[in-house]
Amino acid sequence: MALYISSDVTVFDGEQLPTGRPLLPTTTIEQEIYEFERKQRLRPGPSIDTGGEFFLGGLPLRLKDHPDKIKCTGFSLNNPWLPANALKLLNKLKKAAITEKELVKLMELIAERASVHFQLTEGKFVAMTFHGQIVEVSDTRVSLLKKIQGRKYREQIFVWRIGFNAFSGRI
Amino acid sequence: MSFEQRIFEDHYTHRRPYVRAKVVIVDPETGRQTTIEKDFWIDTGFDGGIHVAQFHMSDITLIGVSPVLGSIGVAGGKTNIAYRCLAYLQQIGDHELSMPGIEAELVLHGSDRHGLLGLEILKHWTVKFDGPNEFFTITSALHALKE
Repeated sequence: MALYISSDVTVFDGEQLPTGRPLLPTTTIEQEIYEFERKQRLRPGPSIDTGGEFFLGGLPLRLKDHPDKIKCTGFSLNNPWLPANALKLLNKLKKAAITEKELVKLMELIAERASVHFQLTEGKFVAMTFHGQIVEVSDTRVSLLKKIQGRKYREQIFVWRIGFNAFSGRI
Repeated sequence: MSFEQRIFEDHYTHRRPYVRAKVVIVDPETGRQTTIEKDFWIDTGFDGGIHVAQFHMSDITLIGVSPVLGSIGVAGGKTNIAYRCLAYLQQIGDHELSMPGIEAELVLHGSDRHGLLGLEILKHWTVKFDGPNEFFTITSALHALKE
């Protein structure tokens, strides 16, 4: 289930813009048009991740196109909302002042939140960023490592097994 | 009909089933590779693939592969930091496996001089332990086509 989150967007010329995903149709005709457009890939479905874009009249509205007009106080839909203790540990990680135990705890917290946010199935092997963005998901350890081997990522990533406290280890 | 192919057999070393094995790590972008050859303990208590000491990391990063961060469950129920990458098990004792070898998770963790071969590797074969005689055999099933 994709979460619908109405972020607070302020427009300084006084006009309130619709935010988040396009509104879902309510009438039968609207529903048919919506389904047709969705099937033709003319319109993103509510479950499709649009990269955290806002929409204005069906067209994606990028914040970078209107930097002086719109101020977004929400958070990206691509990232789960991390709990306060995770943010605290993330801050320690940035300062390189984190212990091994804390780093394991941080990964655990992020993986837990991401698995709820993205509804990941228990047992899946995932690679994710420290902001909770999913980089890759696989059914096996080897297939996950195959996908990420040799690839360069802008952010530090880590691997996790959903629902477990370790990717592999002593049984 | 099936036959057994003997891959390895030997007595225990220091009361443990060790086997000499060759593991290769490849950078898929450049084709550069590095080899780790050492003694591995057949470890049925490890659910992963191949485990080696963290000091091998420098050889791996040298070919351009960056092992990815993660965790490992260790004895006593604790969880530690470990790094991982994809590797190929290419040789067990004198037995060379068909190329490119068995794809496996390579875990870099700790400082033990010997490595571990876990269940992800052992699932490919039949391993028999003769405890009283401290002897073990690794075989694989060869399936012949029914005539």
